Amino acid sequence: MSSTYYFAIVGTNDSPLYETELGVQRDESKYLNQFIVHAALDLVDDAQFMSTACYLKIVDRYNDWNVSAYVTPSNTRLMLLHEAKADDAIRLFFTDCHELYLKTLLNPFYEPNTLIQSQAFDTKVNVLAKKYLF
Amino acid sequence: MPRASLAQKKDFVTKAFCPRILALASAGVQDACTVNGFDSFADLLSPFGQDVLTQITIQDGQGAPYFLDKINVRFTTDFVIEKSPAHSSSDVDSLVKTCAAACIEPADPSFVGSDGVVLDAAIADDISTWAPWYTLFRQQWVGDMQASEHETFMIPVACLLVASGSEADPIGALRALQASAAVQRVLTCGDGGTKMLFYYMLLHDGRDTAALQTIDLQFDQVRKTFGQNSALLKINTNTDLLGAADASERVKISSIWGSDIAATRPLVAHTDTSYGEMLTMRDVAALRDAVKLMLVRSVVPHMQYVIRVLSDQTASERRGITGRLFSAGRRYLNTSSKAENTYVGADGEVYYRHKSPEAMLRRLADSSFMLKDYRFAQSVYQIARRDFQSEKAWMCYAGAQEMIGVCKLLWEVQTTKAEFDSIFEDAVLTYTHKTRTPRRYSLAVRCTVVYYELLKHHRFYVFAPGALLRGPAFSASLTALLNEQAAYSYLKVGSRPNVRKFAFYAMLASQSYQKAGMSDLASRCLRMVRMSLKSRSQEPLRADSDDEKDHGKLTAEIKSPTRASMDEKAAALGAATGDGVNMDKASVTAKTKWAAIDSYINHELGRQSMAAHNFDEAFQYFMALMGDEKTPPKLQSKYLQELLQLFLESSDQPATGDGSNGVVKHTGPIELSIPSIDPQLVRIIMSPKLEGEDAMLEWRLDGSSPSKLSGGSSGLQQTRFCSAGEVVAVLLVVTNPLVIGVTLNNLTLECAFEAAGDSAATGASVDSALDISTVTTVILEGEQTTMVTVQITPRRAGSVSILGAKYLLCDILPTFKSLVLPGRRMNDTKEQRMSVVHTPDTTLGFSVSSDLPRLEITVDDLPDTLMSGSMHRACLRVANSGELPCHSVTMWVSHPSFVGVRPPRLCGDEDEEDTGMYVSWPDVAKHERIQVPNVLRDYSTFVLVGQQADALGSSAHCVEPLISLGPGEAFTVPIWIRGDRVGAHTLSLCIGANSAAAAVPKDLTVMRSRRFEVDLLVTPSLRVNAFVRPSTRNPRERLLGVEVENMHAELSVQLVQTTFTSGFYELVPVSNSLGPRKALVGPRQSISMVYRARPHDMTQSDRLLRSDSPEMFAVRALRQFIYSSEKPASTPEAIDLIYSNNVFTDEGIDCKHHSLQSYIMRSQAHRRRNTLRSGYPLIPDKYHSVMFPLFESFGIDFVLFWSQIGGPGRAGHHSISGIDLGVPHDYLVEGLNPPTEGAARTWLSDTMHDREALIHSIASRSEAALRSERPLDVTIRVDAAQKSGPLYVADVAVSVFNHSWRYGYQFTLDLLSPNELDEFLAEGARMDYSGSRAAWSWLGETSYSASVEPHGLTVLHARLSCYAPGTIDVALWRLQASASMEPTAVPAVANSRNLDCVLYPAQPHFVHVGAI
Repeated sequence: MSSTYYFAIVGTNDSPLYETELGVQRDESKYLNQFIVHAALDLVDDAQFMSTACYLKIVDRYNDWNVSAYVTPSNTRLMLLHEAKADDAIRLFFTDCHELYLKTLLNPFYEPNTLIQSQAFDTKVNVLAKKYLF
Repeated sequence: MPRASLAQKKDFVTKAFCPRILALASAGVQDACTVNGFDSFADLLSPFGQDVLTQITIQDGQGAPYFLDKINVRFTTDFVIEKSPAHSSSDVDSLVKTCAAACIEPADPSFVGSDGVVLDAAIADDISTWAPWYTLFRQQWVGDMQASEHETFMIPVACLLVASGSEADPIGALRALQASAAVQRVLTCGDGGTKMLFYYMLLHDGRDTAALQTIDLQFDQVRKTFGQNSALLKINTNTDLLGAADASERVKISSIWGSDIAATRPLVAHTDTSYGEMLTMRDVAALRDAVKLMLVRSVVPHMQYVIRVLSDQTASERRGITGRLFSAGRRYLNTSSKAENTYVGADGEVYYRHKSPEAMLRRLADSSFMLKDYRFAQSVYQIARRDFQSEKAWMCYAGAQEMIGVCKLLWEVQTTKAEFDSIFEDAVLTYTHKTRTPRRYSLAVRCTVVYYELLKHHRFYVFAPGALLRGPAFSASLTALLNEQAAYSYLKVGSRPNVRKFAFYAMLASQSYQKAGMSDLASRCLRMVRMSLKSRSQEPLRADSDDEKDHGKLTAEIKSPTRASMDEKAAALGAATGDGVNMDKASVTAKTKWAAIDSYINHELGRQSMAAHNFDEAFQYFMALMGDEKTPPKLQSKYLQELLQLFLESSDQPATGDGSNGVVKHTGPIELSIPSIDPQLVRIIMSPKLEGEDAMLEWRLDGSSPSKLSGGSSGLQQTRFCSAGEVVAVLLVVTNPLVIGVTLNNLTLECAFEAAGDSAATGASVDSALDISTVTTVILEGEQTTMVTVQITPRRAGSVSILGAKYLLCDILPTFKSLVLPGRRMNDTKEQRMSVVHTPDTTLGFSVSSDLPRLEITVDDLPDTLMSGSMHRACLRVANSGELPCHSVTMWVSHPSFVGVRPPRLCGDEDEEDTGMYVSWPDVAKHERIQVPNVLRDYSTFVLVGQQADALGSSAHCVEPLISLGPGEAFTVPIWIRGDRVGAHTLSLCIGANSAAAAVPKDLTVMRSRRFEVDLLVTPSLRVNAFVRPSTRNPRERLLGVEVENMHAELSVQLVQTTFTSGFYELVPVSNSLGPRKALVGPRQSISMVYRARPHDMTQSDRLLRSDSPEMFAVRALRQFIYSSEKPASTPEAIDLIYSNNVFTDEGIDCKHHSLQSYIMRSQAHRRRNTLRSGYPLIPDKYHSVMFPLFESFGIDFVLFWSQIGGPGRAGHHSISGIDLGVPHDYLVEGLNPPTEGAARTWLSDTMHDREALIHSIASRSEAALRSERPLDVTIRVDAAQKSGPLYVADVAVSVFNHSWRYGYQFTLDLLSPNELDEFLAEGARMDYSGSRAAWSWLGETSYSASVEPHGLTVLHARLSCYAPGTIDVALWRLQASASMEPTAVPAVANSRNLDCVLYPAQPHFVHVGAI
């Protein structure tokens, strides 16, 4: 199983609110990760109207990479770039990340649609990644 | 080179797979073609093979009729199977480059606007216009395809043999052509049981007029010889060359071939070639007719015949399951047949021999396809495909799959995706992966191109990206071409262009273009990416997030002015420095919130701009790269190195002023984001060597703290001023956002200078007016923040504003950092509210004034810790280092009760010895009367230099100011700081100076000021408490006890002296036994002292009623304030204070000394102000000083002087101000009575309410104070007892004193017998009476009725008898008093309940009776 993931939370104005590379980090492909996930947003826009579920499964592919998406009711997109296909694990990962994001929104000092810079959030996402993805 | 105006997509496919006709011409014909500019006869006929209107009904392979509207044919001059070698990647690259070069400058496509992608244009415009080089490529690619063994499209279906009538033997020439090698090669390939069609044509050259006579005869012979497939063609009838009668006709004729060549062979440049010089329009018509005749009469019928024959021959193959079984049985059972039908080609692929059924099926399908019978052709392809697959003839299989897909898209448009898309995918993958022929990639590309064209025709763009991305990637340029088309396709998918997908594939295309060395197209793609992302970032938010939309709008409003102002300022700077740098970075660089994407785009565009020697643009891209702190360290280092390299390269380039060749030398400093210098953290420090804050402050001289300029009142823009020649330090906080270290060299500031009185600032004046220091090297490690100080020394008067910082990054790159901030947001007018307007920022600037004092002010020995009460000496030194005399120096202190100031003393003037705070004096009188001013002033401001002003008259007691301070002169001011209150305090000390010779400071004046602040911690040392007891000796006396407790754990103090100050009382110690030894207070010890407070002069009981008393002044002032709303103009008279000293040591302390006197007065004023502020909140602060005196007559101030025993020898004093003896003083209520005259007649309603509230509050306060006080005091004095029989009889004088000076009292005094005491216990009489009730009793009259005047004394006489000598408690009486009131307007609430009261003794009074 591949051990490299790229996870991003994309706000309603298409800007990334949070992004992290899980597993082996490769600086040289960072822009490619962003490009792939950013391009997949077009397909998320189409796919979210085809399903009533938040989890849209794999919405896009590029070479060996797959992009899974999860759309919250407030239209925030949770995107995961991965190689291995593990539908259930990714769904659980997304669900827990959504809960984390909701807790962040409840923070009165966090303004929605702005960067999430909380170190605690980052730590928890990594814990969830270890729990579900690795 | 004209752009290719190619046919529609569907026609492109049909023309790509159209029938070929081999056109062979004799030498005479060749000559007739050459004179017209054609290389061959096929070129002559080529335009007339396009879209030939046949308009005939023909039969398909199954005999069903269908209408053939038009047909395309291509004329070829030769035929070779696999004549051309396989395409190599370099060939493809060169072809793509040629196609790109053939197009005009690769401008951005039409859908890319200045603000991003124009969605309407993206939807409406044709894809082919966005990348015309792709159109050229696909035409050239498909047009160059040669015949292959797996298909028959390229094999000529007919052979056109042409001979000229000018030849001696045309028939022989035709026979020779028929026997040529090319014909034989066609025959060997086309032998499928049918014969090849030969079409003979006799050409008459109009130039040969001699042959005109015999041409018909010759044609007859040709027809007789070769049959009906013959034709006569006459051309070159334009023999009148010199006449050139109709030039437009020449152009028209030439354009026929020109446009055809542009369409079929777009890369061949023929712009200058003129075709058909000898041809006329009649010849053109003849050529068109000849081709049409050939097609209609011969070629199409022949192809129909071929189809019919092949259909018959392959009938068994096509006959359903039976045929298939037969075919399968033959295939699996008869091995010989398989060997006969197939062979392995040179490329290792399995092919079918021409006579094999499979080859015939393919030929049948191809022929049907060429005659546009797609339905039948598809069915035949499908039959053949099965055989090809089973035989593993993958080349043939892939070809059949390709054609099946084409047929489906040509006639079965409604088919589902799974069919044609999977078929094409299978074809491409089979070509690419299963075949081994070198041409597999070429065929796969052809398949991809054809499929893509058909998808475009049917607008099935959703399949296009997948189809294009499946294409073989054996060449970078080809990959780029296909990725670019895929990107464009995403703009056409669905109802809304997928811009983000487009951006991604455009980026991939750019990478491939770059790899192929096509940097222009790579840059173009990246620009498209940048613009598309820009449009995404600017796209309005969804309608369901109104809040976010509003927020975004608001944010944009907030940010835009900042950027606008920054850009404007930067542009202005660029114009000023003449560097010509385009500062509009936002329009060039990528600015999305996807940091890595932005970095990549900017880096790539920067590199490409650098390669193109477009250094200005490259600089902007690299500068944008530098701002991202999230960039990984490796990339940061790389970017920085490349930026420096860019600068070095640009410096090496010769400068061209106009930049016509795209090379513009970069000379001026560029604005870079590293390191970051926050303008809001920049500090301008005047006189950096001195402590304290330098500023221009407004002094109000009313005790309030000097404040910063409000702007409006002073009219000054700047808040910082300095004089010429003075050093100004600018403190920059420099942060390196990168994780790699950088160095800054030659760091200095860019400033603008505006000379005083000169509106225009010029660059030359800046250099001459300012001397700006340079920091040689600043080393910044990764993510390090450091502070850099740059000094500015102005030379002339004017205004200086800091624009930015200049430095050399890594000693190479001249960089500029703007430090301009937007000013205050304007909100005054409607326009300002509707838009975002800021005032010019003045925070980073200062003014240079020529008449400003330049003082060096230092404060030495400021303490940080003090024991409470102890004194510490600090020193203020002021030196005039300027060139102008200073006429005014004023000091303000925040805690006047903490600070004692001595008169200033010029340096070098040692006449006056600096005495300590306390002046010892051996002969300190016990009681001294001193007259002191009684005006409550502000004691927080001191005039050190300047003429004494009445407003600051307090200085008369403390400071004798200097007249002026000349240049080079200096003076010192001793400052005594005392820990007045325990706790942490922040003392502020502000010294203002002014060169103006204004002797009298006004209420508001602006002075250059320096503010010092010191944190002082006052630790506890002694705690002094005072308590009051009534005296039994005299009703006007009180006993005042003072308890001194040493809170310190180590401090031992010697009490030196106690001093009471009062205007009415004198205090004498009850016992003088407290000598020097007993006046020691050790650690944690306490000591008590008791004093008797009595009126200094008993005869002056009417003191209060005098008009010059402080109390009467307050009453008058209050009455005037309440009833006439006028500020009292008079000041209280001086008061005679009685100093009651009690010295414990040999030498006392001179309290009359002016230094201590002023300090005590300052403390008193501070306390008095606080008391008034809390006691009379409804009276404004500014009225306190004019309505109330500094001292009250009955207040007592206590000062305890002490010195430390051992240790550093500290000395100090503790004080209690305003000790109240508990005697009622209700005089102030009298001020509430309206005056007899001078009252205001009319008041505003608000004023009325205010006054009523004030009256009520003062009356209530008096009532509350009186409640606990006794208006009358009774003392009993017993004379010596006389023995009278068994009894001792003594005369008793009972004194009743009235403390109230408002009311007289009528009272009844009852002397209570001890035996009767129980009757009065219930009324509150003495319950603590412990004396013997039977030992004594009153004699005679015991009830007296009398009256007592206000502040008067009434003495009554009585007698008592005692049965035995001893001590008895005689304090047994009851006083029933009733005030005698006069009518008054004072509110009823002010009439206390003590007007009618019953009083009993509050304490025992023991007397000795008889001799003991």
